[in-house]
Amino acid sequence: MEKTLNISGIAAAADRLTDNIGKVIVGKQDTIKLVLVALLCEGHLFIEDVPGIGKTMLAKATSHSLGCSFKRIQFTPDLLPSDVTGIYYFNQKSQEFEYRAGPIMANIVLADEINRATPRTQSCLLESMQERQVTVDVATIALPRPFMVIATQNPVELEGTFPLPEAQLDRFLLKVKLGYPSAADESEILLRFQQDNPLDTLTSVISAAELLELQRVCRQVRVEESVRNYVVALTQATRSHPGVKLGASPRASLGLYQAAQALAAIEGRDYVIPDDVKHLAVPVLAHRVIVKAETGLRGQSAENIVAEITGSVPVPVEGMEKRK
Amino acid sequence: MRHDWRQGLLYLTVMGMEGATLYAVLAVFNRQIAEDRLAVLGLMLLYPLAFAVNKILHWWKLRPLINYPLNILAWSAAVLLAAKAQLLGYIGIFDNTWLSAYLANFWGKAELIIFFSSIALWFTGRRLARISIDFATAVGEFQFTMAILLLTLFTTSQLHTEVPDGIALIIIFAVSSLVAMSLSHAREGRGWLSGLSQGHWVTLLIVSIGLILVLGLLVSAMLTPDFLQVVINALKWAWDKIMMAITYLLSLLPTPEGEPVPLPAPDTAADNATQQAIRELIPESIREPLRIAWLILASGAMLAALWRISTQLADWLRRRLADRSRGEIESLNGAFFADLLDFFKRVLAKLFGGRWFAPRQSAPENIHPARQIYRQFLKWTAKRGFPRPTFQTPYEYLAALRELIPASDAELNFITQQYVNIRYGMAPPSEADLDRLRETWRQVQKENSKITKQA
Repeated sequence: MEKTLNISGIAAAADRLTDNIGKVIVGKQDTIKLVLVALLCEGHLFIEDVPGIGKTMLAKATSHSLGCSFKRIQFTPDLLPSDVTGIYYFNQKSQEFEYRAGPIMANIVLADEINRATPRTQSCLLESMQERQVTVDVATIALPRPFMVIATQNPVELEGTFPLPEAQLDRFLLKVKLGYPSAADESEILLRFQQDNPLDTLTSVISAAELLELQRVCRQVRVEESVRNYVVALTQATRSHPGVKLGASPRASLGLYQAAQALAAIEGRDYVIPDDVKHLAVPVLAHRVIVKAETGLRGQSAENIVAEITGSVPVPVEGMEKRK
Repeated sequence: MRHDWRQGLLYLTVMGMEGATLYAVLAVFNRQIAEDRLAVLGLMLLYPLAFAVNKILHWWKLRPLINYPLNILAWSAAVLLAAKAQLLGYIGIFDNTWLSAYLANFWGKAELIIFFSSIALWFTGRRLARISIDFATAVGEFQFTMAILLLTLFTTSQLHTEVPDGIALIIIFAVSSLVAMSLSHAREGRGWLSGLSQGHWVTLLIVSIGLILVLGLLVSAMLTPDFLQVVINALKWAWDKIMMAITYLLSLLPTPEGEPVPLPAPDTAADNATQQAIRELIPESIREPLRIAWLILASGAMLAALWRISTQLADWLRRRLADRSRGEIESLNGAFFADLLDFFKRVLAKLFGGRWFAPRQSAPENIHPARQIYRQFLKWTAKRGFPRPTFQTPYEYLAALRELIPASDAELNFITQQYVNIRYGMAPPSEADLDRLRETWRQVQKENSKITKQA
């Protein structure tokens, strides 16, 4: 009974968050749901889309809804790692070295246009994203919990940018695209932003402590053995696809597994169904897959390949056991 | 579960199959062991009585702690009354000396037959009361009872005797099995009967049974001794011609020089001495049961082998069909061979140790009824040209089916939802939901029996 109540609590919290973020972001319910999945898995989010689509607005609305601390880092080519992680400086008054925290020390960190920074600066996020800590000089400092990095990237202006390495991309749980709003939604945006910015009046609907508890409960969502094997089968299929140079890693399997649990909880279920896995396969796996040059030249993207894989790997349904 | 008259008729047909088989077996035992002292038909009344008692107990939904003792009590009363009626009818019912007379003679042949047959009859009736008859069950019953009936006939042939009322039993068995399989098949919305003429299947069934009987009478009228003599003469003529041809071909072979070496004459005296020695070593009282045991073993092994071959052929066909359509095609679970093999293995495991005779993993798995219904559903849609592609989840498949069968949207949604709950959520449906699921499934089949994929 307690577990059932908590699952329904997750669904209720998800509805509150969706409604709250929806006051700022018009439409895009699917994208907001993916943001919630990343939140519940304490995973990091990568948003790639054209300018002016609402990427930063989405990140801000999410952080405002959570009542968590929020910091924005504008990545530029001259950004240094210490600008992100913080530094130890010598305090003349106390005659001691003191740590000045960088913008990384927040619950929600918006890494805007992450591909504009140099690889050296990009790599300073590796440790923080994976291990939730930063190492400055010889000191290792834990990051606040919950901790989430929302990185944005512009796919069109690639001059003077540094594409993220595979190791960094693999640390993002999900990659989402907002896409252009529909005509009706765009009209609604104009109406909402006519007088003032709805972001200014957005209040938090979930506290950080509540979010941590919801994350813990999410891990208890049941995953039947065949569904677990299905997750593994999808990931392994990305490694053996002829158009793929580098497939998804076991970290990707784990990410897909946990994301499916979160999605099931958001839907109000205490068990995962194959639809959850299929729905999340492209957002979780596609950005981790490196396609071969000739595959890209043929116009086939990683998203296409992952979608093709989900359309071919058998789903565990009745009678499949006999096929073994 | 709604018990309509069709379900009642199915119970009657299965009773016909099982009853004919049980009657045959009991009649043979009665003749060979009890010297025809018992009225087998009266003894058979225990079977429908057991069915009725257990049906009532099942409807009352009593807990096992109450159900089992009541069952045993009812059986005890029934077996005592049967013994009273069969053997001690001359004693008044309220004179309880008949009870002590029966118990005193408990180890008598007729008394033992009554006791053990009552267990078999009661168990069979109880089992029938607790199952629902569908096509797969009807086929399974037919397979099992036919095998027992055939074994009984072989055994009586070996014993140079016959099954009393054998022809009537065979007719009852044949008619019951035909009705059971046709009715259950039509009830599930499959087969030419349901497609041809909905609502008139009873007439069609009666007409087809009548045609078969008329054909049988015609054939039996034709097969007179004179006709058979003509056939035998024709066969003899053909055989003579064949032997003439063989002899002529042999005459063309070169003959060896010298006198042909005569074949040694058979030593009949030595053969007779050997057989006499065997007869003296193993007395007739042992040879007779050994002969019967060997007969049963050989017949059973032969039937099992035939069944295994036919099952493998059917499985191969199913796999080929499934590969071609890339969809789900469920296998028909007659399960006769698996049950028989599993039974033999368990007996051998008890005798010689479980390590060597562990039942195979392919023994019939325990599938929840909700999952069984979904399997049947997948098979039903596949047969109509909408097989589920292997990469589609149940909900994706539901979305595709909605476009094809829009009228049953709510029903398909319910079936899918119940399956998803138990398959991935391990949350079995309640009894009420399970009944509703069965009814929904039946309704889907009935309303969409003519649906097929448009070319």
